[in-house]
Amino acid sequence: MPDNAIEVRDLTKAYREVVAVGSISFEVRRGEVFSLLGPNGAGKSTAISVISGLLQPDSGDARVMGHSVTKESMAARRCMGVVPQEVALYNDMSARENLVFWGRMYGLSGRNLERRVDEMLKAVGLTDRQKGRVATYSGGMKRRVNIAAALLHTPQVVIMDEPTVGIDPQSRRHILDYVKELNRQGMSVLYTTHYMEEAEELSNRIAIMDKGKVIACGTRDELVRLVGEQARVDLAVTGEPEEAAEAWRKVAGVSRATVEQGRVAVLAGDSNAVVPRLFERAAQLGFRIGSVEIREPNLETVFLALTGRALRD
Amino acid sequence: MTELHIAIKDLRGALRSRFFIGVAVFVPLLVTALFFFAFGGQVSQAGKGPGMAPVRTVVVNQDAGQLQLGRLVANMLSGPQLRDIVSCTEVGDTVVARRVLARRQADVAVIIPAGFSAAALDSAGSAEVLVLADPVKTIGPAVVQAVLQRLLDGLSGSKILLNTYRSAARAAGVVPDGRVIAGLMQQYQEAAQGGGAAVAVRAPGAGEDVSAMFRRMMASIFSGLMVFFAFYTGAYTALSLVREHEDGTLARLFTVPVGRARILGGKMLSVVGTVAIQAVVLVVASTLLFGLRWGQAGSSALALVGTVVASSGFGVMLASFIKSTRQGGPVLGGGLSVAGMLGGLFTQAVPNMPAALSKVALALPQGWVIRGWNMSIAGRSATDMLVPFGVMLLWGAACFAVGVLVFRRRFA
Repeated sequence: MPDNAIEVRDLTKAYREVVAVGSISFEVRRGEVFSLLGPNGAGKSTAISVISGLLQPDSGDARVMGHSVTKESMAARRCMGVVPQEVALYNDMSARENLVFWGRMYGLSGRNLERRVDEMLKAVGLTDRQKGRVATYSGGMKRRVNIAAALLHTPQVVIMDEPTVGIDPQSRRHILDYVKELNRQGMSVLYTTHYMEEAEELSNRIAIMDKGKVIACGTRDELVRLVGEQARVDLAVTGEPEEAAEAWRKVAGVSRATVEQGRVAVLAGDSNAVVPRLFERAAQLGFRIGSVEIREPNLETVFLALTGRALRD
Repeated sequence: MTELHIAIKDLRGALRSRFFIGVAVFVPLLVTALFFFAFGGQVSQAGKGPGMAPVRTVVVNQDAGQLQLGRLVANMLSGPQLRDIVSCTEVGDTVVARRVLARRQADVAVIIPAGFSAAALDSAGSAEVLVLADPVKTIGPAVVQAVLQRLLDGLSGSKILLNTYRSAARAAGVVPDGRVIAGLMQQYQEAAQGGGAAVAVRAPGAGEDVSAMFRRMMASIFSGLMVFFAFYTGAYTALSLVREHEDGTLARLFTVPVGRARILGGKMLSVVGTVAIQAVVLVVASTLLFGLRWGQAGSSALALVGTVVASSGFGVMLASFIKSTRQGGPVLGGGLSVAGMLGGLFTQAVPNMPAALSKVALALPQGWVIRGWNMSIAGRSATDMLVPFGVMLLWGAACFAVGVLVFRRRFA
């Protein structure tokens, strides 16, 4: 059995002139939760589409449990369950009918199929509502069925493409806990998200993507160390934030200053020493600082340091 | 098996869709029912099933002449020979007749005036019968007028006979005998009603009862509707590929361990299955509800299979060019209506259509399908049907191939 659940090597996919994914490489080790973290348009979904066999790569390859997705796509697909970003279910069918159908598509039949459907309905807490049409479900319930449909055949690898987008906090919590549970059961999980908190909470390792490239990869602590022990200082100022950022970039101890949503984000190695200097410079230039927030280094800080943009941009 | 699971899933979806059931099954039956009742199918004739309703007619006979020709006309209108066409009731006077007509308790009133017999027998006179009708009725009054015209033509003939007898009697110096005149009139009327006619016209369908002719005409109209809606169903069901593409379920299907060719095969199977169910339901329902006759079993089976294959193939091809479900409505509605008109689906019951239109119809699968049904309805044998059946299959296969090719290029 291979050490890696997924191996991606020099994968490239372009849509005409636009390179969605440019020669990316990473691997998901067996039994780990691996997150692809990046803003919308970073290329996460394209990467997942290639790995799940939905798209053919222009070059490079991916292997799932040792099977090439281009040369042995059927064998690769048998090993994985794919949870698409949008709910992909038949609204005119009940949850049970949907699961039976998707189970059949994965080759299940007879008692085994019925047993797995019962188990999955129980696992996602929809046993009581199994006969209701999916069209009548809430967004969170649909998401849960959406996940269950990918797990019926007990795959070794689960690929989840932003499964918590647009749902309520309670359903989101339910899904995150369920991902952890799947991982405890031994499944390897490839998870994409643009929520830093989700990546931090779930992942053994994280690859940060931006503009079709993997710009950093490692554990959370390894990634944070990439930017040193820099804290992030968010400041609200009166006047033009661009001018304040420009002035603060020259302050000793400041490694980066950018404007995000009307506030100035400053990266600094020693925030205790730098913050007084920021006030001093603001006073010299006639700015008034309305509020200050100091954040410990996290993935947001890493992304800001590596790209000069906030993750949510 | 996977293809079958996909097809069953789609079939179940189609059968659960009220919109689909409404359009595919109820609309053609409803339109046929409207035609059926519009052309007088409300009345069920005992033992014959539905047919043309007799024209409700009231007769006022004011003629009191010696020969009572008015009585003769009234009796003939209510006689057994016209029972299937005219339902006749005699009333006392014109006022009552007009009142009955105004209340729409009758479709036609026939007024035979006083002195009708005298005028009919007078060599210089001219007898007239007044026909009053409900102004919104057209067919019923026309039927009664045609019947009356035939009776009065007979009276004109008998008048010539009478004048000839009078001239001969005068020439022989004999006074014309009233009893002889009455006897001659009676014999002439009996002869004029068809007994021992010297010359007779025979035409195909002659002797067939009105109900059978009516059902044949309705089958012709309904077959046009059925073919139109079969093509609509083919395209609408094939459009489920585009719908699944938009809903994301097609992409999900492409991530399961099943080849794309098999997935597309399952979708195509669902198109054929849905159209087949619709066609069978429509044929059976129209037979049971309206008593329509579809011809010999073998011929109608060939027409049915040809319809399914041609409409499924055409539907798959049409749907393959549709990029989104928003495009689907106008393209399906417009494209299929134009193709249906050119294919003669809405005009095939109209006699003497221009030859050019018939040729255009044969350039479309719809034209061949309706040709097949017309042949079956006309009682042609299965052997006679082989050419249109073969063309239907060819059309279906060709369109199907184009559609699958386009879909595969799009999704595979």
